[in-house]
Amino acid sequence: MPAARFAWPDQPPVHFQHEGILTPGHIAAGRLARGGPVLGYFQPVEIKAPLGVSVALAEGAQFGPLQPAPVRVGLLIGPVYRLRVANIPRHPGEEVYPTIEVIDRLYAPVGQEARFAIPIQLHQADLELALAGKLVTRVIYVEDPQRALPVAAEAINGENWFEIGPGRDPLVVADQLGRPVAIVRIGGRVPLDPEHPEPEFMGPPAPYERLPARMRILQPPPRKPAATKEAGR
Amino acid sequence: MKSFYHPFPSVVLRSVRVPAEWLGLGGALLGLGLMLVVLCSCQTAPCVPGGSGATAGPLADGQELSIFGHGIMAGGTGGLAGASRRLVAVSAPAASPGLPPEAFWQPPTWSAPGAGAWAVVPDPQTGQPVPAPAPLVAYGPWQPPGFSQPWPDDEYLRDGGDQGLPVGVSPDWQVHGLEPEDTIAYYDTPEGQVRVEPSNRVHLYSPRFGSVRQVSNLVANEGREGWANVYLPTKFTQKEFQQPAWSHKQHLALGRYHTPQTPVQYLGRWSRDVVSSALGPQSFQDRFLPFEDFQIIRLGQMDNSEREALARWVQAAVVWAKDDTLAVLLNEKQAAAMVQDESLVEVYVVHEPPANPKLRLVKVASTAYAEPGDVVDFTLRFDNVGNQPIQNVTILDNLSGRLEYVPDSAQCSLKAQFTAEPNQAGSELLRWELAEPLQPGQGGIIRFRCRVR
Repeated sequence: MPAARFAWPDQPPVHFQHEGILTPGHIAAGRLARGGPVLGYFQPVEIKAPLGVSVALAEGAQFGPLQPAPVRVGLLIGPVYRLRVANIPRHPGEEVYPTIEVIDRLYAPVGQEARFAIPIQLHQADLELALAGKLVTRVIYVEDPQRALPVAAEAINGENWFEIGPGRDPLVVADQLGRPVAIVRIGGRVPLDPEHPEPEFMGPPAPYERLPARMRILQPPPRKPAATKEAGR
Repeated sequence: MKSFYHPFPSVVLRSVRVPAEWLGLGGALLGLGLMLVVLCSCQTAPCVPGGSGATAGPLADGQELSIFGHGIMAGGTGGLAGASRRLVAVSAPAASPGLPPEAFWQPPTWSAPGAGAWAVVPDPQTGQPVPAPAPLVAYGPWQPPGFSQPWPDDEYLRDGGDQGLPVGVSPDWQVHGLEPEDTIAYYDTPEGQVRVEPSNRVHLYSPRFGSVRQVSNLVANEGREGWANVYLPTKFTQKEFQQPAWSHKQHLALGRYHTPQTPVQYLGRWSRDVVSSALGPQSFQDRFLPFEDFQIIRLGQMDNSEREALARWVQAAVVWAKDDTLAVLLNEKQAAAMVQDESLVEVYVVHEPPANPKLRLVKVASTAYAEPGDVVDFTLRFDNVGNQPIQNVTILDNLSGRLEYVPDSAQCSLKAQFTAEPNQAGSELLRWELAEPLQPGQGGIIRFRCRVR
């Protein structure tokens, strides 16, 4: 059913008519058809991964240079972006090619857009599942502050995620918990030649915006205790 | 600059603080015509207690400043200085130590601060002051600038105000209708009533993300073809999903509508005297913080030039500058009684304003956006903007589940008993109970810190 049939103003901003296992790009196309200030907006996204993992985005018919994670980029709402994930810990020489589909945007204060980017977390377990032939679908949503879990970010290891079993739609569940903003699919198809992937694998090219990486606050090294006079003697 | 309502032409006029020299020199000619001329001049006097206009000439004997013909006398402090011997004034209490005295003792916003004065016109039918129009009315829900409605507000963390059911206080001092994110104050009026005043709402941009994961595996689509039986078509097994075997933790919050009264709330109600520790007043920081650089916080007075900046965080700014009563100041003291002159010829009549107890509660935050883990400073400024002392002033801040109170960070410029107890949202309910009554014009500052979850 075409997504434009659901595009009227009174439609609630949920995706109950869709499924998370639809073809990549279908949900975002429905969001564009709904209207609003989303067309042509580069939504900042921060791709996080375990230490040592490198990430590259598709640039035209090939992948760009690999960059160490985390990587911050601005992605359009609608296209499906193909990633190349390499240097996976404990899996040398193996690569995973997830896709990112941004289906909604944030409304950050002016000048704070990049700071409050959508986090795309590539977990080690997800990468290993993809290498084992599984398909991992993650729907990232903005929590409803009225129903947010009253725990600190440190208590849940900086992320709040849970798993649903078969037979349930992750997009519908995410709609019930908040507002879905992105869909990440890890696993599935791999290119025949990673250096020269076929066009069907890469999909239609889509522009993205490079953003500077988040500044890391380096902690000073621990000071050695000053030598006392007694110790010097 | 204040706004008040002129009942006759049914338009909104803007009054200005008139320097006292103008009133002294103008004398008996100060009336409606002079008021209109002053309106065109549009000068603003500095908001300094005991303003510079105190040296102006006093009113001449027999003068009566009747503006709009309704017998409400108005004038600067200098102009009324000569008439003070005929009037009984209420002495002002001493300011609290710590911050500058003007931070805690200011004339009410409906009266004349410093060297200026304005009049409030009563309703000719009822004699009651006509409430001023709202200078800043929030139409509809708050929304960030630059975006048209509808826009999603789930990225903002809110605190303050009175949302949902209105907060009420029963005669046995039980607070009802206090929901997470609410910030209110209640007090006793001299007539024995208990009134509740909400604060404005503070919005922090602090989106928090979650994700839903599903792992699927296509284990079917295996076709078996047997050459021996060519009549059997290719048979496909059914597509199945396979769930991974490991255990996982469900990070799901409890549905608050399913369990409206959680055990946390139950414990907090019964163990208030046992669990809640009455924390002693901490040493109050003797300096204003950078984000408190507002007249409404430092001096307790609303300034028009700050409303635009404050409106970014404020939804209920309507109550800030509501001029709903009148006042007469005599050397910064409020006239409270009517006294006749000895000669019985020169009579000054001072109309005592009707009882109008009112508390103003303003809340500001140190930042407009924060990430999980950041610490945000909140400041509450409370002022008695009515014309009666109020007692048993209690200020409640029911923190939302995403705000965590930093222990030992509460400060109050006045003597108050502070308690923190768990609330139904998984955070804490902060309570300040002022030890002494709050006189008209008196106010104070409360500060505390929260960590964004």
